[in-house]
Amino acid sequence: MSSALEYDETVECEAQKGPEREDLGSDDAPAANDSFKRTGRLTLYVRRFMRRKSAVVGLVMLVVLIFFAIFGSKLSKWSYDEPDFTALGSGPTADHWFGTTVGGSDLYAMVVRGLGRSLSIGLLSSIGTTVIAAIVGTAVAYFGGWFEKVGMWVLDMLLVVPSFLLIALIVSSATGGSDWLWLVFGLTAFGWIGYARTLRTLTLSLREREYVHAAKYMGVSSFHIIVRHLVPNLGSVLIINTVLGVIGAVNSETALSFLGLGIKAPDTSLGTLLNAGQTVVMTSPWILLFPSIVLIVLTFSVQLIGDGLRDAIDPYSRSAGKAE
Amino acid sequence: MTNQKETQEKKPVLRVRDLHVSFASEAGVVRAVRGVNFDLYRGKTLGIVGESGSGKSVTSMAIMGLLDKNASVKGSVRYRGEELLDKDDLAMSKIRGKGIAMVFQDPLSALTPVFSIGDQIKEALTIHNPGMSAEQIHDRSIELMNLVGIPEPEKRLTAFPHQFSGGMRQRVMIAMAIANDPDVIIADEPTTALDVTIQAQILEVLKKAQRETGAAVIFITHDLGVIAGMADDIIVMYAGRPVEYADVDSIFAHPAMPYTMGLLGAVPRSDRGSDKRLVPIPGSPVNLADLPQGCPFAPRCPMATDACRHEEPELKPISGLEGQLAACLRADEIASKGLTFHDVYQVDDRTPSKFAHIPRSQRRKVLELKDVCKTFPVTSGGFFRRNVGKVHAVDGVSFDVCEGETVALVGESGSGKSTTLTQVMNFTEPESGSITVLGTTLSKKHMSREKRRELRAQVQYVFQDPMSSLDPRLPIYDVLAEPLKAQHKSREEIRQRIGELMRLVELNPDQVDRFPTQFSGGQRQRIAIARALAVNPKLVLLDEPVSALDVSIQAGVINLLEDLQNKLGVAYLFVAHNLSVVRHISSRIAVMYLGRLVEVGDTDDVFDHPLHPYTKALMSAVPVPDPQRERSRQRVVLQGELPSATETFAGCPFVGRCPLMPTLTKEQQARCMGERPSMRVSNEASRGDGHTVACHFA
Repeated sequence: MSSALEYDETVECEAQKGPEREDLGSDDAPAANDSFKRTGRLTLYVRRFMRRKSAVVGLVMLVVLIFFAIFGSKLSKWSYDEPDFTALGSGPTADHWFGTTVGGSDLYAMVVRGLGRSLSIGLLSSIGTTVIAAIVGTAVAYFGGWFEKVGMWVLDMLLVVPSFLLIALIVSSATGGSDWLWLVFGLTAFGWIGYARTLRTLTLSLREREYVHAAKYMGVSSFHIIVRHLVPNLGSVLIINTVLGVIGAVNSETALSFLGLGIKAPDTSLGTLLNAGQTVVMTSPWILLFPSIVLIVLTFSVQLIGDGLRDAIDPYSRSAGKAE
Repeated sequence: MTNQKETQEKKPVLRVRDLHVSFASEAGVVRAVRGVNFDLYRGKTLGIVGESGSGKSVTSMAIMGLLDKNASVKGSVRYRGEELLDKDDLAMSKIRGKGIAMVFQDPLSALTPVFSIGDQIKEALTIHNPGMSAEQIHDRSIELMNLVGIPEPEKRLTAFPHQFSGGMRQRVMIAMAIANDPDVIIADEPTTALDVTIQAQILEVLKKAQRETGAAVIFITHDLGVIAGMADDIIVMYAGRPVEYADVDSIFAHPAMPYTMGLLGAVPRSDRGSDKRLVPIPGSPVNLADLPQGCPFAPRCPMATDACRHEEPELKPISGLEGQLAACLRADEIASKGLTFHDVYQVDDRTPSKFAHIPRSQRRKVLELKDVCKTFPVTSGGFFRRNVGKVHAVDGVSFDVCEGETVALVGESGSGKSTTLTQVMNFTEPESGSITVLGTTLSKKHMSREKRRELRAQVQYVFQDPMSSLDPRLPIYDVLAEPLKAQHKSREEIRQRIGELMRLVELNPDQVDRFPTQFSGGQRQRIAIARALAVNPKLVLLDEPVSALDVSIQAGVINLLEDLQNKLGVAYLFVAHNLSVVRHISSRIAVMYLGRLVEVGDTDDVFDHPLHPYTKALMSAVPVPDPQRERSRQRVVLQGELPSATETFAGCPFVGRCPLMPTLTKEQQARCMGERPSMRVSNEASRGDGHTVACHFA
């Protein structure tokens, strides 16, 4: 949870820093003869991101969802683990804004709680997966030779591990309230392997590019080449992976929860709620409706942010703004 | 019959009037061709010259009716009185190949890889002559292949395109173009993708093909040297419009449009020493989607007046110059005053070199190669990938580079020039021989990280294509900071240095937060050069640094390289296939053939008195932008092509193509084949400083 928040806060901070830094630069300019206006790379990316209206909308949506997940519970007097036995399966009322479940739990409180869980699981595991896959995939391709051979053996071996079963075992053996963290761990630990293989194939052509050779000839270390040249040039693929990964992680978590192996009651997640709502869709449709809306808003905002990020880091896109 | 032919001669076979082509694009309507007029007569060659984006290829495609559907073509193209622009694709295909044939730039993509050469020539024949019998087709194919000089035509008919070299493929293309005796042959940059010796062969073949068929040729090129030897008349195009039209001698002798002058002043010449600086045309080519008002060349023209910026001049005759037309308001003035490009363009003086007064022998050696070899294994295609042989990419190469000088490595493609550079840049011990960089001999022994980094800072590299050597995702600031960061410079130092660098290569330092895509080709190469110079290297290796640039831009980059060398005292190791550029920029030259050095010496020495027969052929193959010289020159046209790299030679690798061989006695020939010639000072009176050659009889 906290990490997901930090991620967004850094983006926010940079956005605020952007114009400030630029002002500093122009103030300096007349002072010293040798200085010139420069915009840092991050500022540049933030500015390009901000130029795209839809991306900003997506970011606002995500921020609202995060605030909702953190502070939403303060607004309602009900808690997700305190069922109201006087209103079993009731529709939305002034008391229960989103209605209650068949068991009498307040759906508003459940959605707030579930959103928090799904957000953390989705964002953490998909970002984690992408980072690991990007670094391993590019490194395996970049170094080549025996490193690549061994790396590919390991990847192929990991691919045949029955990951779903292992995640189930890990989560079910976890105790206390940390089972969702183990779930994130499981989803990340087994989710990156396929991506890493794809990214390796893409890197095979990237590593022959002249700018990679140029960096090598300048004496840039391998680690820096991977981080500065290879990974950013896979940017579009990585971002699409991350966006799809958020949705994928919510799906896997739902599947595990359905088998009783994911999030366990009284804790809840959007997946579990959707699952519960499915069975009673004819009698109490609100149980399916509200979590679905929230999930759709979540994936939509991630999608918009992903598109914006992709264009922000892609020099060929039209985010450059109008030419002078 | 003769009578009929004569009337044909007088009537133009192709008449183009007011041709306009525009394309729809995201950025708006691109007006690629704006008003081209010409008449083409049988047996004559019309040259169309211009930089990339000037509309020369689009003109030819419009004539052939090969443009995309999103192009709108207006005007008139009459072939033997028939209007071509009204014809649909089906009607045009009756004329294409039979009436008007085309030779494309890239012979690799112009031939279908899955059909044999014989099948493809057969197709060209039968499509217009369905009644031909198999025997007739066979005989005609053999005849055509003999005409274009393909050896053993019987055997080669069944061969596939991949079994042919680039030059041979282009011969096949010409054979197919003349298969049906066309009236017009359009050759679109037919030799641009070829080596200079092969280019000379292909130009000969084209001339022969024209003689045999009596066709009119439209020859499109950016190379003023090639056009000087080929064309009768020349159209110079700029921004989609012809800006000057005249016969070849007039254009080269007294150009009247400042753009033509600029083009002629911007090309270095292989037949002259490099005493003068090149004249770059300021600015960069116009954006066709957003043309300025008035003359499109006005923003770059040193003679532009306010009138030039208001109205676009028509192409009209120049008073006093018979048959010469120019689209310039001041053409009459230029012609009457007899202005040349030295009067029109400002040429600033060269910065004196730091090392001008120190003789070469007293300078420090920054790079020394001794008997360096590099082989690549050849693996069989099967499952086990056994090694079946070796390619000797670099074979016993020795030369050195001193402080403040430029050494050029020249040779045909596949001669191992670039591999030699990579051998140096890899910083490892070569397979055999030794490489010494600034007194440090590279060895297998582990070099300490610190030492390695220091050495890296002394040797930098510039790639051919600035688009692919600059990471598209990094702003220029980060691109330039990369070598500095690798040398662990502080943030403040880096910032300071980048400001200096941008000014050094004449770019605005405020543009550092732009991405490489937002710069033009010449600017990008300047950035690549700035990056190489960031850490104050002693030696820069340049791999074809100007070959991807237009002539007018190229001159600016060459001047910049010269100035930087003189100012900073850095040494260049320069690889290029353009010998005119080499003559201009380098002080020493090393000629490579099949991985071996065949001749090393001072540039002027080697150009004016080449010793090795290969060097002689190479030098004589370079086209010179001077029609009179071109006509009177004796060419040593090499037979055959570069042998396969997998072959091994006990003696001299050049024996198969050597023009000297037939003049030798049996014993001497045996020596050439059996004994490997070593580098030695020539038998002829030794000229200049260390002019050595690897030939037994030179």
